[in-house]
Amino acid sequence: MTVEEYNKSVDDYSDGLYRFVLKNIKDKDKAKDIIQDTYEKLWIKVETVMYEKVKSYLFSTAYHTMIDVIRKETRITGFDEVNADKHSHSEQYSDLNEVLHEAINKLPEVQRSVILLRDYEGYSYHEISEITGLSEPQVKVYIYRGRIFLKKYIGSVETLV
Amino acid sequence: MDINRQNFETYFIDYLDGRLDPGQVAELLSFLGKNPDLERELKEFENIQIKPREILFPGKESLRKTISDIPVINESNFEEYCIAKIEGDLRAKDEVILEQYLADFPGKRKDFELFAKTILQPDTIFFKDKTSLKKPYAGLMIGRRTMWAYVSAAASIVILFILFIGTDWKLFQKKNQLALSETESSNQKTELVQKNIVPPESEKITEPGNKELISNKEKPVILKESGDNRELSNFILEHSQIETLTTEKSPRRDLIIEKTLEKLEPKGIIQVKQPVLLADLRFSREIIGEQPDKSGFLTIRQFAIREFKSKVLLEDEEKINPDRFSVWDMADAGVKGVNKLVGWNMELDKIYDEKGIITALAFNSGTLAFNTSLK
Repeated sequence: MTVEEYNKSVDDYSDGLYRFVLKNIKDKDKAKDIIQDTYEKLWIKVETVMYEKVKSYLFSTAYHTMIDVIRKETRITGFDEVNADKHSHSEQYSDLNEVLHEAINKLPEVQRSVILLRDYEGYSYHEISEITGLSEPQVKVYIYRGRIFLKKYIGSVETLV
Repeated sequence: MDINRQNFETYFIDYLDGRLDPGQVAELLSFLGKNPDLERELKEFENIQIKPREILFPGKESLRKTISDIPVINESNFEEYCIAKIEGDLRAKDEVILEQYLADFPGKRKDFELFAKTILQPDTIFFKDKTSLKKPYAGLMIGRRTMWAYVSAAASIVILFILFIGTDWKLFQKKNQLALSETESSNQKTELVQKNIVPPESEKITEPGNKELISNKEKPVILKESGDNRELSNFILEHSQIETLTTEKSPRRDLIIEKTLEKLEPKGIIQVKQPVLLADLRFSREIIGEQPDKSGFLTIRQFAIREFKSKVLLEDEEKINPDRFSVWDMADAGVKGVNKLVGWNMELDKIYDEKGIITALAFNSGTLAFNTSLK
């Protein structure tokens, strides 16, 4: 991959990467750090990564870096604080998208990641399996479980409203 | 194999099944002509044949299903079908079946619509700091130390140019020896003048472990050099202060110079008309005549040296001596700067002989290495 292609990958994919990571960890500074780290890793391997595969490489690297950060923080904050409000609802909702993004935050990290990759980036099951290191059946199962949770969450909120 | 009365039954069965070739059939018929009793037995075989009877299952109709009876979608797999639909995984015929199911059970349509709402719509989030991720097209790494790296690179080019091309090394060697006041400098035509005659052996400078003091009594020594109009005059040595100088086993001649300068107290004016050995030049207070700042604050020069060593040479700030800065420090910084810029691993070293005299400069870039002799 040339330097020009590397810089083009910055223009083309840094927004999507940032959005994907930010939606998962909800911390702008840490999300920026992960993006910086991801592109530094790409720069180190700029001669070996093919441009055709750069998007998959970027998302895969960002995903694994993000998972490391999340798990590290989980160990620090303690298990009890994770998803403490999994089934709680806010009192006010402006629109469905807001409800949906609140719901996505309550998903387990793997389910959240695969659904974000699916909906935000339009990746196929095979591509998601390459990025996350999961098998395709596993990806399908996680998407299935995530959809079930989201549907129930939306349904319960609509019932409340 | 010929047919006989022991194996004829096998031939009979194969004959009735039609598995004998014409030659074997002719052989069999010949055998039967010779054995009429067996011919009758073969005819009895031909009469033994089981005819299949037509038997029908009477409950076929109870087993038949219509298309509506096929359990394609039911309560247990309805959600799976809904998710497959929104994920785009359903085949065309399955979509028809799903639509039919939703038409048959209108109460399920709301659940299906809820699944359709789980598709996330991306937020308008952008990464604003793209420029920090980009790289220059020349492939150079842009970092916090870029300015220092460029300065180092420029300095390295200058220093390398001076060291390898623009230096009169013979002059340096002679100055070096002159500064050390060695008696063996006769080949440089140095004349040692002593006011009170000093035996040659008394001038041998002892090693630290030997503690052999100079026997001559505190007589000042004046060094004069007959050639090149170079002269060190009024340079008075206190012999009692010279205790630890070495002449043969010291590995570093520049360290000897430093120790000498520390031990000696100039009682007159030091006049150096020619440059001191460039490679060993220390911009120390003693040489440039700067008075120590007793206020405790760094001078501008000290501050610059400290910053340079800290930022470029990456030395430990607590160990930095702001009073000392050599050309070699600059050259070292330059080589490090070039290494950082272009990703090389160049090294520049001095090579000493057994007497501690610099004999050559060695340059090694990993792929290219050469030495430059100074003699």
